[in-house]
Amino acid sequence: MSIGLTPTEHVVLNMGPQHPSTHGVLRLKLTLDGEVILGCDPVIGYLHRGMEKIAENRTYAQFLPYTDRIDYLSSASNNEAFVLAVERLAGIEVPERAQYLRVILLELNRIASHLVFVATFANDLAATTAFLYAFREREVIMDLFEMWTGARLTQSWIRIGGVGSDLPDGFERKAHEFCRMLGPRLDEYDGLLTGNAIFRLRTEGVGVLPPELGIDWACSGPTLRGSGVAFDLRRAEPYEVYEKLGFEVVTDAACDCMGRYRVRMEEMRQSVRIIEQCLDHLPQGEVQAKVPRALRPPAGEAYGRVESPRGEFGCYIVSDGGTSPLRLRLRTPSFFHMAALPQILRGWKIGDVIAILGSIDIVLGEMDR
Amino acid sequence: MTAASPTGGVYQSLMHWWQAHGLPGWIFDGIWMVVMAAVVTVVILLSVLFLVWLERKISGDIQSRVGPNRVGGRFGLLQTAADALKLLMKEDIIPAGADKIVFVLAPFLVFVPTLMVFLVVPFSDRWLVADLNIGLLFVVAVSAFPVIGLFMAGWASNNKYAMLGAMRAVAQSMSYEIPLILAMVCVAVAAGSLKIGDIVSAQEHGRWFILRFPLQLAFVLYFITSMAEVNRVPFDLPEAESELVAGYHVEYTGMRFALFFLAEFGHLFFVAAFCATLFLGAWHGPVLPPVAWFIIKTYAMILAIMWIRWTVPRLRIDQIMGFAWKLLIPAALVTVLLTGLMSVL
Amino acid sequence: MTPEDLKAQFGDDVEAAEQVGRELRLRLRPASLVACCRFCKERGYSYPADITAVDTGAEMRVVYRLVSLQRGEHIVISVGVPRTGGSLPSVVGVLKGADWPEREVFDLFGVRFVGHPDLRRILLTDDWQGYPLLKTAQPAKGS
Repeated sequence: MSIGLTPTEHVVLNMGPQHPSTHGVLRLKLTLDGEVILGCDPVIGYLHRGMEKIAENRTYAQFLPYTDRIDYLSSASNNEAFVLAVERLAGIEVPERAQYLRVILLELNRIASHLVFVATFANDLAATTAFLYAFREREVIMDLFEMWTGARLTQSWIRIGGVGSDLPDGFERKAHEFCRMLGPRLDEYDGLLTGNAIFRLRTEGVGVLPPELGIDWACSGPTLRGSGVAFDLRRAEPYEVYEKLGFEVVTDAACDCMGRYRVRMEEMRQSVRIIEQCLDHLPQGEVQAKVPRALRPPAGEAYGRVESPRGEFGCYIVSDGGTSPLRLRLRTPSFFHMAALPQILRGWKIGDVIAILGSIDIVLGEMDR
Repeated sequence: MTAASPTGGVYQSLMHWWQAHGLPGWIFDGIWMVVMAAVVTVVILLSVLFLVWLERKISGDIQSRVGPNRVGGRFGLLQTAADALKLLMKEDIIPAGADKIVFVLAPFLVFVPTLMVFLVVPFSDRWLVADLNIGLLFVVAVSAFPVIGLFMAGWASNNKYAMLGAMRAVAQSMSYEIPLILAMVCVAVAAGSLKIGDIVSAQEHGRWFILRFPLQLAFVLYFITSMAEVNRVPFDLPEAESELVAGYHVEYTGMRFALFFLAEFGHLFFVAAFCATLFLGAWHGPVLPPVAWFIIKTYAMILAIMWIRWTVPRLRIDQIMGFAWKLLIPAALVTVLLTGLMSVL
Repeated sequence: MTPEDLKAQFGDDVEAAEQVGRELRLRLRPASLVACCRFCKERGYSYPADITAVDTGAEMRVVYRLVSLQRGEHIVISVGVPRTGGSLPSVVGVLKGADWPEREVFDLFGVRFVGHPDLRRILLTDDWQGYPLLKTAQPAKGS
């Protein structure tokens, strides 16, 4: 009598589009053998709003608020990429004070976005308490935004030629207070998460992204820096006043979820350094250059790239001399990271999908546009 | 000194009164059983309602927020009642393609054993419903039942996520029962009996079992494995919200869901109370009435379990299995060995 | 890498090449597309930053952006395609990261990529008719 193996089938499990941990409307078709993932087919486009097409029917100034909503967790980066491309096309010079203010806004957005990352990453792994702690800190940043721009999330304050307005009274004091407060709070998260044995079991060695794979698939930002590649657009192709500021490009050689998490944690500390330098060295001057009401950049093309909290966010504009762009392309990091996800997921278990997806930190708004 | 005739005085006097009127004793026994069941059910349900409120307040505290503070005064004391009422009024949906009979039975198979097991918990020196000779064995046997209910729920739901949750629940439960039982065996060896009453009386005058080497290890084992049995973080994979969207009970609505929910908290209460009974000297203690000591010890355990739940992340299923088989079971075996040695030395 | 290097390597297939800032922009014929990508990749431009298409109304071109992370320089390759029924060889064999961007160009512009392992719509639903980002496809305007 021969003993054969019980035949088993591969199960196709659908994660999403409604799911607490896919951070938005994303559908992952996972092919499983028991709990092990054999393949993953991401289905995206649930949040596709046709931003690029809309841009062809709006003036440059009219399109600016749309850019906030692309990656809504760090809207200033989107504004910045768009505005860099337009200013390059139209040859607009931004006053120095405005450049410093832009950097302050960008770095505050970076911290806010990374706090959301810590919160959601921890929450997905059931450390719910860290979620509330991170959001508590983020509320202070939201207060700062509201004080300055009137809006908590989608500020639209980085505009063509400068920023919306100068800093209000009391902002610098509050911002300094925030910078002083954040350091010890980040230590608190370290105590709660980074050193926790269970957290480490779930993230160390999980979701390894070899650097060659990352470069091949055009990953960027903390996802690529967590694999040891020291590529940061703020240093590689500096914009605004980043050249004058002292900060480190944070990398981690671990290539796993823990590496990416550590990169973002340390980046928050570096952002605090940058903000404090900007506040200390803020020059006097205008905050907005003279920009014609109906802006008609000369025919040509330009590509504005910024280091958004997620990676390389690019805005490629082709102008034909009219008031609306002929073509506006949004190169978003989450799109490329999601393309690489099936490569990373193969061989891991369902429980790891959450950790890996969380560690890559995608935002559906920018993936689908 | 032992709880030899639990609620004995009341039972005996009522029985005499009954038989004095010429009525057959067995009818009285029947009525007594129904009344006792009702009393236990009411007590446990009230405790569970309180526990849910407590969990929300404690989690709020740990997370630097307030917790319920609107329903029923500043402290939101009636919040759970309001939630229970809301659940009662929800639409009762049975998914298409679900195995109806199994689907409907499952919550009961989870809820009823959770109530049954309180029959042998000594709430005080006179409040113990039934001091069975095989009390400890009874607890072990009845605690194994809810797993069947979980699996039935996951199977009958006709939903892959529920099935995954159910399979995980079964794997986890079975794996963690072994060190759990072994820890309880240590206690039985130390007390020399399976009778809960004997275990309690062996701990009088401050000779709590937790102070007796090597029962500290048994205590730690029991504490950890009971968290796994109740499916609480870090062992809450069967219901892992963020992964399986509520796992095995994802398709349950309204009162059926409420039964699962109440069963989980009831089980939590039991596990804490039993831990206090086995290791912390049950209701023994100076000055205060015994029931007060019982409550203090039980809630100390509950607070510890809740604290852990809101602090640490969740383990992956293979890590949970590995932890049970590679660490806890060998540790439990060693503890049993040591306990045996200590009792003959 | 200079425009002259590319002209020397690919001759007449390079219709135009100029250096603008940190970008080397060239206009290429489809026949040399894959070879050019391979050529650039071997010289350090291995980061496939973006692939997209531009429909100017008069003509349509697909734009490939290859970046050298070490030098911080871009090579921007534009390849002309007809506005309907156009197709190009897929560069997925050379640049793995071209997979999804090529799918998106197919989805929104209708350019087919020959040799792509899985060419199907990515952002729009599978049964969508038409290619919305073409200039001929105007968004529906409310009344």
